[in-house]
Amino acid sequence: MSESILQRIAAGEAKAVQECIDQYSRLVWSIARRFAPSAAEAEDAVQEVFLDIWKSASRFDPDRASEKTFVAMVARRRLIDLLRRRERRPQLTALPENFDFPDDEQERLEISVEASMAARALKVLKPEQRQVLVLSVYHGMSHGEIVESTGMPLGTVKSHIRRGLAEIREALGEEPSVDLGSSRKGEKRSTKGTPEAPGRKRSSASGRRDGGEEIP
Amino acid sequence: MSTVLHRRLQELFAMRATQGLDAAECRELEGILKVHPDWDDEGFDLAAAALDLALQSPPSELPTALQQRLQAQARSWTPPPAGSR
Repeated sequence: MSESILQRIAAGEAKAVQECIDQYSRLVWSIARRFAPSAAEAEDAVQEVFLDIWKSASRFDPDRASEKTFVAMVARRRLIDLLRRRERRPQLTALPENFDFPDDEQERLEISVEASMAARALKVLKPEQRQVLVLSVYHGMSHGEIVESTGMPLGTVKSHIRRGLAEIREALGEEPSVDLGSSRKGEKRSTKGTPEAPGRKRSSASGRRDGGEEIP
Repeated sequence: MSTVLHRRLQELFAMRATQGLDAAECRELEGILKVHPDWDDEGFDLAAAALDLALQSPPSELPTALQQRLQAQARSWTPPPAGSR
């Protein structure tokens, strides 16, 4: 199998750096425009994000995530950091109240396998959990801002985010890195390229999570 | 690991993936991971990134000036030598 762009960057191939821009600049720009308070800051952030991507290329593990998801993760980290430094909220980008995802499975798969899995996992969450997660992940709102916006208690907001992300992580086939009585590092189960993640078994941690916690 | 610590760690990972950590939370997470380095993972970060991708509208084109700056940056950036990963 041929190496991915990031693997080639990690191997020192200069041409792959340019390919990385060709492939992912629009994606990074989209995330930056949503998070950054202004277009000028978004432009600066995009340059910083690409430096981060190239420097962290060797950390990319194709068995854990697609390259696109990894790039989005690195971009989000840099932009979350930017927001914290600026102590300013992003401009809210409109997301229809009754938003939906592409019905066409192929269209969703073209975004990334993980995006398709995440979309499906989000759909089955409780409406209030879904709302909080979208405000947090898509709109980049802080927990405090979500409290102001929804009127939910802070503990509930935190709990919805934590549980919602845990659900999506599990849908992606990620094992929790920590388990009561275990210290095994998180690994992805073999779901690569299989949106249905067939045969995935629920971990004992997920059983505890669903059964043992209360929303404060 | 205690249930309380487990939940707190999950909370810190979830915060890191969404709004970031403040200085005290960073120190707290670093303190836990210093004792248990194997407990760090990017599961919540990847979950947030995947959800972000799922919710995105079609990406828009970059401003031309930014595209040119990126290309110049790519030309001047030197990848690490092979094998140094």
